[in-house]
Formats: sequence, C-alpha cells, structure tokens
Amino acid sequence: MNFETPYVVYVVDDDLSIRRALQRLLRTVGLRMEGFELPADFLAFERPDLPSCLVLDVRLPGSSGLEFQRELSQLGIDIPVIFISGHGDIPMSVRAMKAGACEFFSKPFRDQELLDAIQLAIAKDKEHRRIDREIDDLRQRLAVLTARERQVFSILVTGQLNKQIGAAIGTTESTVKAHRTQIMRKMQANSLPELVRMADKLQLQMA
Amino acid sequence: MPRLNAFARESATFLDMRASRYAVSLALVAVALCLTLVLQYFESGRPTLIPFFAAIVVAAWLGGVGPGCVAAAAALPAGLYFYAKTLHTVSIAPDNVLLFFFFAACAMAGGLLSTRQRGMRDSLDRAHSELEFKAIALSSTNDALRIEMTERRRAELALADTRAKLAHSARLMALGELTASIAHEINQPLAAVATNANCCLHWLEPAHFDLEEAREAAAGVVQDSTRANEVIRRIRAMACGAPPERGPVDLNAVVREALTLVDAELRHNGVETRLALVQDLPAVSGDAVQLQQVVLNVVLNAMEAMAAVPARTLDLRTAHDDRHVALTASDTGLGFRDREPNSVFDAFVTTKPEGMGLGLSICRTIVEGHGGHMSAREAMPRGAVIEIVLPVEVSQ
Repeated sequence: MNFETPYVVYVVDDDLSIRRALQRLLRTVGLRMEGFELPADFLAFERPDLPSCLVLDVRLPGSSGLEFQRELSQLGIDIPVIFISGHGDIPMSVRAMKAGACEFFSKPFRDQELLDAIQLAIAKDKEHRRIDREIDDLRQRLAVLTARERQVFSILVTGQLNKQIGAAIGTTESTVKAHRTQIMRKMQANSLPELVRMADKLQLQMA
Repeated sequence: MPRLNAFARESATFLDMRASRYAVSLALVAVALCLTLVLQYFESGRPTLIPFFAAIVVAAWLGGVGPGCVAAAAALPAGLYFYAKTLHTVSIAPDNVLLFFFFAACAMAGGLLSTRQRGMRDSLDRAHSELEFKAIALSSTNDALRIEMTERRRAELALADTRAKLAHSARLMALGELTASIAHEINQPLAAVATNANCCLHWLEPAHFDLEEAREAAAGVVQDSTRANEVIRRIRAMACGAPPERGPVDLNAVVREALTLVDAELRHNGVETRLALVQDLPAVSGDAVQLQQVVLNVVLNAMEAMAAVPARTLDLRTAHDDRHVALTASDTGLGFRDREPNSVFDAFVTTKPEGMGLGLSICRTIVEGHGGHMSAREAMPRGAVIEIVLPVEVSQ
C-alpha cells in the first residue's frame, strides 16, 4: 500500500509522543499528516481541498473526542473519523461508531490496522467527494432549467406520459414534448432512465 | 476496742522496757557490790570503787541518764560504806561525800558520754539504714520509670507505624482513583514505542532503506520508553509501603512530580493549572513520597471541587522566608459551603458525596509530622485556598 497522491491525515491528540509517532508511521507510506494538540487548533487550520480523514483521540483536554465528533457534524464538517483511545471501553466505542466513526482503536494499536483504516477512510472520503462533485455538477445543470421545465422534470421522472403531464400542468402535449427536449439537453441526459438517476441523486422534490 | 488493746500492749512493752532498764542498772550495782565484797575477801587492803564506777558507766551507757542516776544513787551508800575512813560504817565524813560526788560525777560523765556516743551512733545507723531504704525505693522507682519509658517508646513507634500504614492506604486509594488516567499515561508512550519501532523496521528494509529515518524512529523509541519508565517509577514510589525516610526535599520538585501523575486527569477535567514556583527554594527536611501524597491529595480535591463550575483554574504557588517554605493551592471550585474552612482537616469531614473524609486529615498528620502546619481558607471571590507551611531544613 502506498499513497503517493496528495491526501492529508489530520491527527488531534494532546500527546506529543503519539503525534510524532504517527507522523513517522504515515511518512513510511508517504502520507502527509497535520497534527493538532487541541480540537480548536484543528478547526482554525485552513484545510486544503483534498481527500482526508481525521484521527481523533477520545480523551481530549476539556472535552471528549466524542463531543468533538458531534461538534464537527453540527459545523457541517464532513470528514471520516477514526478514534484512538488510551482506555477504550465497549460503550464508548459503540457510541463513537453510532455517531458515524469509521474505526475505533485502543492504544497501543496495530500500526497496519490503523493504516488500513486510514486508507479505507480516505477512499471513503474520496468517493464522498466524487459524489459531492457530481451532485454539484448536476445542481449547476439544474439551475439552468426554467421554472416550468423544472416542474415538467419533477413529474417526468415519476414515469408519467406527456399527455398526462400536459393535463397535470394545463398545457398541450406538444409543449410538454418541447420542454422535455430542453430538459434532456440542459441536464445532458441521453435517456429517460439516466434522467431518473440524476433526479435520484438530486433528491428532487416532487411538485 | 482493738485500738485500745493495742495501745495497752504498746505501753506495757514501753513500761517493760523502761522498768527493765532500771532493773538492769540496779542489778549492775548489785553485781558491783558483790564483786567488791569478793575482792575485799581476798585482798584485805583498801577497797576499790572501780566496780561501782564500771556499773554506773555501763548503766548510763545501756539505759541513758535515768538508769545512770539510779545506779549512782544506789552505788552511793555502798561506796560510802566501803570508802569511808572508818571502814564498814555508813557515817558520813564531809570529804568522803565530796570524794564520792566527784566519783559519781566522773562515772555519770563517762556513762553519758558513752550514751551520747551510742545515741549518735544509733542515729547514724538509722540515717544509714534510712538512706539505704531510700536508695532501694529510688532504684525501684527508676526501674518502673524505665519500663514506662520503654512502653511509651514502643507505643510511639507503633503509632508512627500505624500512621505510615494509614498514609500508605490513603496513597493507594488516591492511586486507585487515578487508575484510568495512569493507564492512559503508560499506554500513550507504549503506543508511541510500538509505532516508532515499526517505523524503524520499515526504514531498515532493503526496499525502502533510509538510515536517517530509522535512526530517528529508534531515538523516538528510546525517548518514549524512558517516559513510560518514569511514569512507572513514580507510581511504584507512591504505591510502595516503604517507611518514611527523612532527607532534604525540594518542594518545587515534589509539586512537579505529583502533577505528572495527575496531569492527564487535570487536562481531561478541563482544569487549567498555573504554576508559580519560586526559584532557589530552600530544601525542607522530610519524606518526598509523603509530601507528594499531600500535594496529590490537595490537587485532586481541588479538581473535584471544580467539577461543577465552568471556570476551572488551579494556582500552585511556592514561597519562602528565612525559616519556612510555603505551598499555596487555590482553586475556583465550590469552596467550603458555609463550613469552617479548617474543619476539612478533621477526620471523616468531607464535602464529597462518596469521600471518606480521611485524605486531608492524613495530609495534616503528615505535614505536622514534618514540623509544619496546614491551613484552609475561603478564596476570593470563590473557591478554596489550602496552605502548607514547612520549616526549612537546618543544615548540621
């Protein structure tokens, strides 16, 4: 396993030895690491737009890692979290996993397991980012549609015929047909099933 | 009745003794008379008064003045009888009387002198025996005192031993409360050691050989294992029940050592610890482990008192003058809640729901055992201040 592509692993742990050791470990696989003593330092850091994951110590000064995980989701920071704990117990790990953590390791952890988890988390983030980008793209296309076209689009993807759509919005079948051509062009869809998948991704609201 | 009887018996003996003394003096004179008669029978010369003289002397010597006089009186007619110019008459010639009185006076004087000497000897004897008695009494009192002192010393040793054991159990209890944090303190460097060692192995593999990286990782192993070792050493010192040892102790170092054990706990509880340790603090004489225990206890108490308040600051300050070294710990916790501050040092007094109320009481015993004292007061605007004052070690 070797990450040569630019990814970042963030580590929040108040223990300098752990941060240094992790830095060395990640260097062996060519990963860039940014270490932080306090959660606030992590929040203040200007994060590059790169696939990344966060390795978080459960026991943090002032607050617990679990609280910080909650805080992150409240702040809308969507990043895969891997917990490491000096004295992890089962209820704690269950809570962490329920809150969406990728993994939960007790110190001392197995380096390879941690690296595997980091790889998985980064892959997850990469996929996440890809989907995000795709949705962004679709949203941009959607934004070009007129209000009328958007209305037709939302009914169209439910599988209704042009005639039925025309009746629903009070227009002729040929007008609906013209709208439909516009929608397919603007959304860059080659077929109706593709358009339906796009609508799915956009979670388009039914009119 | 029994008392009266006893009195009668005693006076009878007394009378008996007096009477027998007089009887003895009369008997002596009678013996002297017989002796003179016997002497005269064998030697028809001029009679001698020496037997009477001897009788009076002996009577006075044995019986004192009274019997001496009686003997003299009894000897008078006999002496006159024998010593008169006209032998064997009782008629009195003036020069005979004079001679006899002279003779009697000499006899009395001799007797009295010897009586006095005897009296003096008696009182000397009495004094001597009294002295002997007193000496015996004194030595037995001495023995009793010595036994008492040994007992006392043994009791004191037992007390000191009990106190040390109590302090030890209190230490173990404090360590028990810190188990999670101590496990964390040991696990952290151990995790770092394992990771560093793995990194070192990685860089030593031919595929990605990098000596500089490997060396750096190995240095990390050394550093972190030293740290783990330090934590274990401190815990062992706290946990072991070795008897307290006296030696010069740097209170600043004591504070720092104690803090390393609770550092993680303090940070986890969001306590900001501020240290103001003066430089060149004179050493105090005492046991470093016990003093660390006191600091640990004070810090843990402060931390618990601040658990329910939002702003948690613990100030630890050292100061000194010519003869004393002081450590002040002030927190921003709930304080004493209308209680007399110094009552926290009483046994079984606690502000904690599940506390035993022994910690600070033991701390005070330890501090007082070091010749110092411990006091508590309210902090302004809120919280508690605990002050420990210890005497500076006097260099011999």
